[in-house]
Amino acid sequence: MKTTATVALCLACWLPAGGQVTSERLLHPEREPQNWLTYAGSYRSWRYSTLDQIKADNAKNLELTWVYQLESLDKFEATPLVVDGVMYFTQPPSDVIAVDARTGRAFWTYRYRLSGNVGVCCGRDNRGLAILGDTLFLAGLDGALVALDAKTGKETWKTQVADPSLGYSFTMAPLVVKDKVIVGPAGGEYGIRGFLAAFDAATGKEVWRFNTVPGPGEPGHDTWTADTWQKGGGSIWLTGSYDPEQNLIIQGVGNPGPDWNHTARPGDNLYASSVIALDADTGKLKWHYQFIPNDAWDWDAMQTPVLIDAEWQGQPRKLIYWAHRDGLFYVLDRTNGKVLSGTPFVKQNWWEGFDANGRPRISPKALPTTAGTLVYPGVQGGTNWYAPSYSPRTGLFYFSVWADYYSIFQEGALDYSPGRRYNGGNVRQPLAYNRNITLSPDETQGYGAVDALDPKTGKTIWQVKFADLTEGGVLTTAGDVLFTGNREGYFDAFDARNGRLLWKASLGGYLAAGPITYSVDGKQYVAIAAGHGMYVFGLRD
Amino acid sequence: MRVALAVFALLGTSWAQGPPGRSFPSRADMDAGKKLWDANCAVCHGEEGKGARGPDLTTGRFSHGGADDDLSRAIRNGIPGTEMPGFPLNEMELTQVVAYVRALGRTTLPAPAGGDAARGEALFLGAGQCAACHRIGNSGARVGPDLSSVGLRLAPVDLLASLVRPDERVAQQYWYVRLVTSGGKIIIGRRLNEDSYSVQLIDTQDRLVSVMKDDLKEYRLIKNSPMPSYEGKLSQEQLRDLVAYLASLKGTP
Repeated sequence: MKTTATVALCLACWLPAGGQVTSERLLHPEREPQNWLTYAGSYRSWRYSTLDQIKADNAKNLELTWVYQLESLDKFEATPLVVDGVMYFTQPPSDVIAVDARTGRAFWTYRYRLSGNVGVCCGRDNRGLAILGDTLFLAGLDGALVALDAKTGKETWKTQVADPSLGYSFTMAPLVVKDKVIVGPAGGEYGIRGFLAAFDAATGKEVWRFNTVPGPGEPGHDTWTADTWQKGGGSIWLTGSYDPEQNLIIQGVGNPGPDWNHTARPGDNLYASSVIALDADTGKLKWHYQFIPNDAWDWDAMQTPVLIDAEWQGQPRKLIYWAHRDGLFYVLDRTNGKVLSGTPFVKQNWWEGFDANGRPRISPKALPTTAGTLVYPGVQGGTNWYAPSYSPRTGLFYFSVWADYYSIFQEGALDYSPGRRYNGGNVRQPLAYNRNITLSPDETQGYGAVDALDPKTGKTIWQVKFADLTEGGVLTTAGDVLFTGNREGYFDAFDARNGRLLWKASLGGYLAAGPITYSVDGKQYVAIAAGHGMYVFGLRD
Repeated sequence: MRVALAVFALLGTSWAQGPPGRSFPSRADMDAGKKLWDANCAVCHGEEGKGARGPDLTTGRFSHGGADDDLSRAIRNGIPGTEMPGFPLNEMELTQVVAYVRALGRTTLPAPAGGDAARGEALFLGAGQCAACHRIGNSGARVGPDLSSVGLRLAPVDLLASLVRPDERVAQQYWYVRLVTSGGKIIIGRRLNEDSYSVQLIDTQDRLVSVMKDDLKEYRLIKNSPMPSYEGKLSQEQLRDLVAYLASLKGTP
């Protein structure tokens, strides 16, 4: 080919021009439903798409379009991004793959070089990426934040943020707001001290940091005693939401450490097991609400906050819908963090209502003891990080639940040693956390389900029960189709209005991720990570 | 531009395990190539390749095609209408002889040393327009080979050879494709991936593009370099400056 032509064409193309995905595009994903630009599909985290080619009455015609098999046997929890026909996803622990969204054929792969000695409680997971301009952002398992050229997969910068030898790790998809990349560390089981930090997207330099466990001189420090704050947990391992009007990052915070020995850390233990609202430019705390003061059960607030402007008791309000691991569905006012309601959605025996200030009255009978205490819900919670969805067409909130499920919590000795487990006790549960073979379900052990809940009342409108538990995320669409899946390896489509099964596919491997939808050249696709592959479906042509 | 040594080092290619394909030759291959040269070629092209009955092969210019494949074909099949006969060599031997012919060609290159890296950088970013295709660090286009650490991979003499004889050997990952869709749209770029039904590339505007083959009326793989030879376009001094700059590129630690 003639090089002169190339030169002429290309001189303009690499000059800085804001790049492909501007922050304006991130603010308005509704203008481009063909893409999936952030972890939860939008800053308000509805995991809802206006695409409607796949509908309740034709979902039965879904068929496999392509599969991308991983070269990893680690648990696959990633949500992919789709940008203008290119899909980006992480391969656990921390690789990145760019593929053609129509065919699954790779453009490039990026292999992360993991340093040794990473302690992780629950798998070498990664839940996804963020994008800004022509740059992807990856939170590497060993505590480094990495920027990659979205066109080539080449590192443009790498910042070591946290020390993996002390139990810090990254598993969340970063959140990009304006020109900053926001991330926090997992490690609540390792005596870390959590934070949420923002980094300059261009350089990787830290811009602000909010300590989720305040140190001396920081507000909230008096909710800890002695030096308990130094290993007080408060991890962050799931992407939060962003409210552009208030310029607030709304982020859940993990449990205090040690997990099950709450008597060793007297006080409320702010801001563990809370939701925090931070100014996106400065990281300053605007408000917080603590779901569980002095949390004794490891019930992190590690759920996706769903932001919505809706009427509440006759008044238009800026709300947060929050189905919490502790078994309650909360509605909060996101201008001030006031709790407006809390309704149990599964069997629970720890919560006895709120006091006048919205603080939960905790049953003393549910607190762990050395002998052991039986508590509903169990340690994995009534729900967990499994991505919820809100459909404006039905007005319902959809999420995965573990119903009628308990654990026996035993308070134990403190055993802090840097980088080692720091649980302060034990938990036994009747349900195996990982089951490859599902035995006959026993109603005393609980069950998994997908729930459709009316956020105005907290009441379940419909529910689909599964034989096994579920860690599936939920996607809803303007075609009134709800996609989810579960540990049995099924990927299902239900009618979002009534829970009727429309279609299912057995993917042959544990499904523990959130589905997304996108379109290329006018054809709608649905993607789900399952087992050790990325699966994509579309309607038969 | 060639990125020969890096590819070779990464793959650690062992020729004993299969045909050499487009792997890159080792010192042992050069030695074997010399033996084959002495036995078969020297009688016409001269012991040092300067030419006798056959033409001088040290100039880097070949009238019947200068890519590795062209040279191999000429050696295996001969060149019709000339005195050049075909030689019954196997794939490995052909690659070895070609490697030796390349080595002979290096002897006629001007000395690459003595350039000024700062002037070379100015040339790279300015009049040379190199960044229109090549990326160094976080700037420049992506369609050509990334040169961020080319100084670690190529010796100055090989950098110079790449500039003046870019077609000698283009590593497979840098082959271009030229596609014409059934609608008449022309797509040109560096091929990234391909299967029976589709091809993926990065086009000349740095876009990731995937095309279904049943939507193409023309598919052409371009194995020679889209980069022109800079011999005669740049002065000897400019070439040395550019080599000095490229040799200084060692990536980020």
